[in-house]
Amino acid sequence: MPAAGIGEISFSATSDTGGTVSGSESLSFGGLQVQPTFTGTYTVSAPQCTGSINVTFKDGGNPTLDFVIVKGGEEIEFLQTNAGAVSQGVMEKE
Amino acid sequence: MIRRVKFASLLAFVTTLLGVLCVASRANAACTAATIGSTYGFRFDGFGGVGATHTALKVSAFVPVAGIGEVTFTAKSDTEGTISGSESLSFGGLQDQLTFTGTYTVNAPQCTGSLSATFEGFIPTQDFVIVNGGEEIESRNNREHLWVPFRCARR
Repeated sequence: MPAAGIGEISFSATSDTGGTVSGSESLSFGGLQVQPTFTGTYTVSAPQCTGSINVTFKDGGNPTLDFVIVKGGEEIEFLQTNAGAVSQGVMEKE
Repeated sequence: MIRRVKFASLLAFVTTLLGVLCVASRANAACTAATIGSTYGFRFDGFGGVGATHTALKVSAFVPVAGIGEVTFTAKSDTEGTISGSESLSFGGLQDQLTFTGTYTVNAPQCTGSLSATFEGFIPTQDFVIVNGGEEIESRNNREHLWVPFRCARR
């Protein structure tokens, strides 16, 4: 099923290796339009500048993401890692 | 007289423009294996299919593919080097995390190149072009039945 979306996410570091996230998105899932908000946590593996995000949507749903930090933190390339999902994208610093 | 002056002005403009273009082209042509000798994050999405070799597949034979990862290029000469990295990918919804090693070559005049990476029993090859002075690499997997463009950005 095709899906597409945009949104905003804030990262707040609580240690050298991780922190919390919060944000919102506007999403079309097979044509069904929703605007969920979410909170979660993230971790960063320092040598590789890679990491993962675990998110909980307010109305249900628990997607997980793997990511890689590029351009000195100006962008984050991500992939959803839930079984059955083929979803990737890029986050850009505001 | 006016016409002659206009023509001279146009000729001067064209000459200047060509000069600028040639300078830019020469500056961009200075690619070696060391131009990309650093670590990049990458992202890809496209479609992969399974079928007989040298056979065009129907659309229904393809599944969506996407992934992210990091790759380090280490130059061994002006034209060759080695790569190593890791990636997280989804192949039709099947999730996997892989590491790889391999080699790459750079064609200096064109700032193009190719790489060969060895995964677990899988050796994809890719053609690439170095852009933006090595800050980014545009790439595509040229294994049969894969349509997967890559975008690498320096970390």
